[in-house]
Amino acid sequence: MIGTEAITMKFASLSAAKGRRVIVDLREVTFLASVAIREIINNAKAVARRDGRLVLLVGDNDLVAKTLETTGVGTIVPMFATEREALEAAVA
Amino acid sequence: MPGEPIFPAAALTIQANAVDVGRSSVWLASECEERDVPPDQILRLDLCLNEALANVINHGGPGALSCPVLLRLSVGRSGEHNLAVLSITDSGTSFDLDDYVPRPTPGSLLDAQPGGLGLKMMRTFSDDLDYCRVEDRNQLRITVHWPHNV
Repeated sequence: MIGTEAITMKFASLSAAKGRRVIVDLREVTFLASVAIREIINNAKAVARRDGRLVLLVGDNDLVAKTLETTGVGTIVPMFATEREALEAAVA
Repeated sequence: MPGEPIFPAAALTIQANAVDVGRSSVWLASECEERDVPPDQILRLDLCLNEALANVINHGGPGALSCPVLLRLSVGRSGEHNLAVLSITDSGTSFDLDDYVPRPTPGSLLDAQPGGLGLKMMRTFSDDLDYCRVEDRNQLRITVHWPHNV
């Protein structure tokens, strides 16, 4: 909860520019709380509305991947296991 | 707790605010480690604790915010498994787990509505989740279990 509050403003400002390609690196995240998922959805929407793309990099973080799958976020915000895949998807 | 306790219970009293959510997470990890709870089970409990306290703060109302929240951790054994039970007792608005209807998975990003995921996540990451009223307070119990030999 505290961690999410700490990045909310920065996340939004980084996502605000038109046509921005954003990779959210979740590989070192301990776990993903619902408040963080809300931030991801809100920012992914904001980026998409400005003709950009936001993708998620989860690596082998199974807990985060399971959270994204459980909540359905993984089906609407693309997530990838490797940096290369994430980069290719972000700039495609 | 269900099952036979194998360690003394631990307890912590906190306030329903973001700072104490962080404090409770540190407490949970420390107490679980002392009781030989495996790291992956601690993560599951921590995620559920975070969601439960977020619900207390965001949906519990004035009573939840003004009164202490009691956390209690018990670790025991039941049949083939060890188990850890974390109970969270607060003075917020009562609720019923059965009233919760999960939102359908959104078909697209623009259809997605943030929020309403906390209980779904707690159900996913716990092995058992139950709720009762105890002396006019809410008590949510989160259980995780793992095989003896882990």
